[in-house]
Amino acid sequence: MTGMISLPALARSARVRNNPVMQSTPTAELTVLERIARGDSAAVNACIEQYGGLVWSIARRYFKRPADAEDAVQEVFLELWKSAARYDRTKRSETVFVAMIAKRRIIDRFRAETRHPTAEELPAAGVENPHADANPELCTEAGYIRDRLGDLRDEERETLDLGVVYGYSHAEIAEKLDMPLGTVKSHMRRGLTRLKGWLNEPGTK
Amino acid sequence: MAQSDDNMDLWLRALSGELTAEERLRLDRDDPEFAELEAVAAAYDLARSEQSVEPMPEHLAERIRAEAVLPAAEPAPATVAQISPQPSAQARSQSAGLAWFAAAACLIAAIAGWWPQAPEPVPAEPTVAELRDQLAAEDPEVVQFALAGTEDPAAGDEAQGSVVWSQADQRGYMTIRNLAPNDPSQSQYQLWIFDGTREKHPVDGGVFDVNEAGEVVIPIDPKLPVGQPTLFAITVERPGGVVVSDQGRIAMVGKVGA
Repeated sequence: MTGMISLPALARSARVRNNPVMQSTPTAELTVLERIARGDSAAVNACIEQYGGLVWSIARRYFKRPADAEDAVQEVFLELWKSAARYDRTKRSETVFVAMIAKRRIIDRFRAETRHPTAEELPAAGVENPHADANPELCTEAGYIRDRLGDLRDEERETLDLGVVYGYSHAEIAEKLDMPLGTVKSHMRRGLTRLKGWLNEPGTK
Repeated sequence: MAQSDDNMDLWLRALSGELTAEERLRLDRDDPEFAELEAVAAAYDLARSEQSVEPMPEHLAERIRAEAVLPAAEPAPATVAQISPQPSAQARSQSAGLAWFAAAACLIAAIAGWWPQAPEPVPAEPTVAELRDQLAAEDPEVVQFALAGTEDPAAGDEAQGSVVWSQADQRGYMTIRNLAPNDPSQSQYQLWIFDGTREKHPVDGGVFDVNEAGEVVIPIDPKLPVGQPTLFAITVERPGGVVVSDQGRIAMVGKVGA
């Protein structure tokens, strides 16, 4: 693990000083990552409270051994402290930003082991997200996608579920669905393109 | 989408963590189109799994809280014979000043006819790790990012590291753990800094060796000014290093800001 990220040092960074949104937003209205970027050490706990379950659940989908999942989650949060100043609320919700960072770190760490989770390794359905009501932003983009999942073709949804949610490689998806590799990629590409189009419609951000 | 098929294929495989070391060098995670694709994939994941969120174990939350407020324990770094770190000007002037002060104090005591029983020791030269921490503390604009091992055998399964880089001072430090020790008569590691302002070749960041100690802290002293560092890569080269690397063996990579 790398050393401590100094929150005061983050607050002095040019990225924070030059961010007009952060400079014009009252402290009470800042998100937890924006508060961390300003050097508010109390926001560290709030961030863990708000996103701990999300990051932990993603890690548990990939790592069977809890110890492996714990190491991955710790790495994700270290990355979040470092990346807090890069969060831009005008581009995407904080929840999606956290999920992006989490998936990037967890997948890279997981792929280094060159294995994929088996159905038996996937955890049983967990509990209701305790923070869903506390964070109205939680499902801004995700909720919009969820409401339109029926508009995806079955093949697009299947390949995205296996690749994006469960972490199978393209070759593994091809084998699992008995589909040529190129076809798998085409379905994923079309599915992501469709999702991207929905999220760019007015009123989704 | 406007991007080429090649780009899209690279991005799709990046999302599933399937890139080779060379492709990692090519991937620009700051590309707005890739970032948007990554966000779309994350939003899809949230949409499909939002009802199955498990609470994080409390002991893990405590561990993360502690990590956020306490510096990570660092084992004593191994020495790197091939690189002699140059202390910063401030460190040199501090050491020199303290030495002069100690000498003057002894002289005054001798003239006064009184010899102190426990003379003030002259502080030891700072270690490379201390110089690294000093740089990180002194420069609020310093960038810190991780180095990751590739599929190269030198990286094995456990190579990892981090970089502290001061753009203003044009210097920095690499902390590397679990990279395979090298025989300097056979090969040496060489750092390359990819510069967004240079079209052709990355900047040579110096040659170094890794011993059996498991962890090394290495000063970064680029041979040319680095205008816009985007990526740091460590290659395995012949003894003495090379002027232009064929990048045949890339052992570790780290993207600035990633």
